[in-house]
This record gives sequence, C-alpha cells and structure tokens, in this order.
Amino acid sequence: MASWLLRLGVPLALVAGGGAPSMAQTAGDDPVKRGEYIFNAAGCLGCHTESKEAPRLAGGRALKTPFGTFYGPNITPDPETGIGGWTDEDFIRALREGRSPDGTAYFPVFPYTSFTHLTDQDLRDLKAYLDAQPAVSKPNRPHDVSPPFGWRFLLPAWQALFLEDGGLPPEPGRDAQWERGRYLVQAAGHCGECHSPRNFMGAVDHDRMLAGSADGPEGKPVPNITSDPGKGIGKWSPGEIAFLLEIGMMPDGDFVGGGMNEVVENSTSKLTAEDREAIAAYLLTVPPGG
Amino acid sequence: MSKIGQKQGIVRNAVICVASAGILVAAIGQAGAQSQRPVSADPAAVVKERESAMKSMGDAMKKISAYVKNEGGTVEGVREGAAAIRQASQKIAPSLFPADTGIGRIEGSEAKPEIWQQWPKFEQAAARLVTAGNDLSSAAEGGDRAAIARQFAQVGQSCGGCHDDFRQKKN
Repeated sequence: MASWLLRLGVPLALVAGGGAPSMAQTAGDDPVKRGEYIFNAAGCLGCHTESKEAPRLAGGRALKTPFGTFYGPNITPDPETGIGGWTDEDFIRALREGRSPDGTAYFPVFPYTSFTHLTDQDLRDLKAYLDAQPAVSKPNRPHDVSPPFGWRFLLPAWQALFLEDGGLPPEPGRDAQWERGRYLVQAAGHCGECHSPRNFMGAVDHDRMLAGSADGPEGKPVPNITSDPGKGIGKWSPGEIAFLLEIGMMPDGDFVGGGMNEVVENSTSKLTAEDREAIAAYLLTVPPGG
Repeated sequence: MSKIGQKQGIVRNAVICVASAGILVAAIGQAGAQSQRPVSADPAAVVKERESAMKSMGDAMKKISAYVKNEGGTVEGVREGAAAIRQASQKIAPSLFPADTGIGRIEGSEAKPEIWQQWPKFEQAAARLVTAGNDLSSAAEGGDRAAIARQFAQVGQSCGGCHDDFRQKKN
C-alpha cells in the first residue's frame, strides 16, 4: 500500500506542514540528508523547541512529568549554549549512555534508554544534520524537579539498573519489515517512553511495553498500542495504523490529539510509506502485556 | 429531605442562578462580554450537542477517507461529508463551548480549561476548521481527487491541532 496522498500527487510536505519528503534512510550519500530522516523518525523537534514561534532546536520546551517539570535543552551548534564543539564520540556517548561530554549523567526524561539502540551510522548522520542547523544562542533553563528525583548524583545508579545499552536483541524467524518496524518503534521513535507504564523510579516497565500509561506527559493517560484486540489496536488493519501515522485519523474518523498530533506532524508523517507500514506490522505483533 | 432531593434542589437553584446571571449579563449589555465567556442554561445538553457535532464530523471524515483511499467512497459522499463538516464547524466557537462545560465543571467533558484561558487561540483553531471545511466543499464540487485529498488533509490537521491543545480524551 503506497501513501495515499503521495499516490494522488499530494506532497507529504503539505500534510506535514513543511520540509521536503525525506529520502529513505538507506538511500543517498549525503549524511545531512540521511540525518534529517533520523531526526524526523526520532521526533527531536518537539522536545527541543519551545514553541512553534520559538527558535528551532534552541530548547526551553517544558515537559511535565510525575517527577517534576523538565525543560528540553538547546541542541543547536551554538558553542556556548548548544552542542557546538561536541565530537561524534561525545554525541554517541550522550545518546547511548546518557552522559554529557563532561561525564555528568542525564535525566532519563531524555529517552536515551531508547536511543541507545540506534546504530552508529544513524547517530553519526543525526549529528551531521544537527551540525548543519542554524546556531542559536539561548541558555538552557534549569529543570524543576522534586527531591529525590532531582538529585543528579543518583542517576548513575538509576542507569546501572535500567539502561541496557547497545543494539536490539536478534529475534530469529522475523523478517526485515518487522525488524525495521521494531527499530523505528523502540529505538528511533521511542514510542514506549509515552505509551508504557513506568515503575516508581520512573523506568519503563518492559513487561508491559506499549500497554498504555495512566500517567503520560502532562499527567494525562496515553493509550495502549499493543496487539490486544480490546484494550489495544489488535483489531486495526495495518492500513488503518499506517493512515493514523500519516495524517492522524483513527478508524472511526476521529483525529488524535493529546500530543500525538504533534508526533504525526513532526515525525511519522515525514517517514516513507514503507516505514509506516513496517511500524504497523511490528505493532500488530506486540504482545498485550497490560 | 433526602440527600438526592437536596442535591436536586441545589442543582435547580444553581440553574436558576446561572440563568438569572445570564439575563443580568445580557441586561448590563456588552460590559465584560469579551473577557467573560458566557455560560449556558443547560451545560449537559450543550455537551451532548457538542459530542454529536464532533461525531458527525468524524463520520464525515471517515466517509471522505474511503474516497481518498479509493476504498469505495464516492464524490457524492465527499460532498455530503463536506457539508456536514461545514455545518458543524460553524457552531463550534459561537455556541458549543460555553464556559461551564469544561473538564471538572461537568461530568464526561473532554474540553480542557485551556479553551477558556486562551479563548482567542481557540477561536482561531475553530476558524481554521471552518476555512478548511469550506475549501474541502469547493474541492468536492470540483471533483478532483488530488485536490480533495489535499483539503481532506488540511481538515484533518485542523482537527488534530485543536485536539492536541484543547481536548483531553477520557480513555
């Protein structure tokens, strides 16, 4: 099934509200172009840009969680207030191990527990894309987190408990489409960060991966997207899931909100039709869990 | 008097108060009308009407998507759907969101308090849908599938953008 709008000659840029449709991740020899695709797949824009009117990627977006309010940092190439001057190795350490160039641990509101599964190539391409964006001088806003969650010195212990870095484990008997779908959902898209329940220490409950959360961002419920036919999306067709990811429509004609519309606009509508189909194929195999 | 009877009395008095307040505001005239959103005489009925208007638009979008995706929809269906969207969308800001119909004010509401805290922004979001619905109608009259698909996407974006900011689903 091709993307309906593209098949009709409607460029996705129109649907996504700007930006040319990206190349497939495997295509092209321009790392910046490839990196743009990863950037969209990971939806970096949302958390790192304060508002639609604010300077792009210069940080300041508030994310309310049960542990306090975090503010996305500046990830423009500005050397003083952004990530200018980082080496590729600095960048890979940040996304894979959750540590800044000076060794300080990041709060897991930055979803490095998902990004840790991104390939080296994808991380380097993503860095090339970010390096090519305009630098903006805007100091980071300190997080507003209640104790003990705001105690940064505890984070290495949290990481030792809950960060399983490295690639996704091999699953014998799965085809390439499923593998790609899993990579997009679990690594780049970090869907489980909002769609899964967390334990009292704020770690995603892997036994109930994607089974929904009563306490998502802004303290609002986030739906179950496992294959559960009653509570999840097990009754949806792959085409219905792909269409939601393309324009945000649910099978009953309703349109998503609650932050998911932003995900569609910034991220899933900018993927290739094949990648949206891969996500659908993978989600329909996720066990109910909840 | 039973507790239920007491409650009913309180509700009846509240309704009378609210209605009187409404009449009073009307009598005073325009003073404060811009900053004070009006309240309704029967919030539960408004919520019901709102949900049915939203559902009629959802049904229309479902019907139109069947044409856009080439899954058995017809241009005639698109025209009917676009007409339903136009009809419902024009009522949103003027009458479907009185200030006493938000979450916490009335059971079952999915309308976030931000609607009344940021009323001009909400009005803008509603106006965007009205425009998109009109454009979809024009495209449906023209009968060009790509143009219909484009406007369908525009309507969808208006729905989703507003839902992101102003709706909190119950489940």
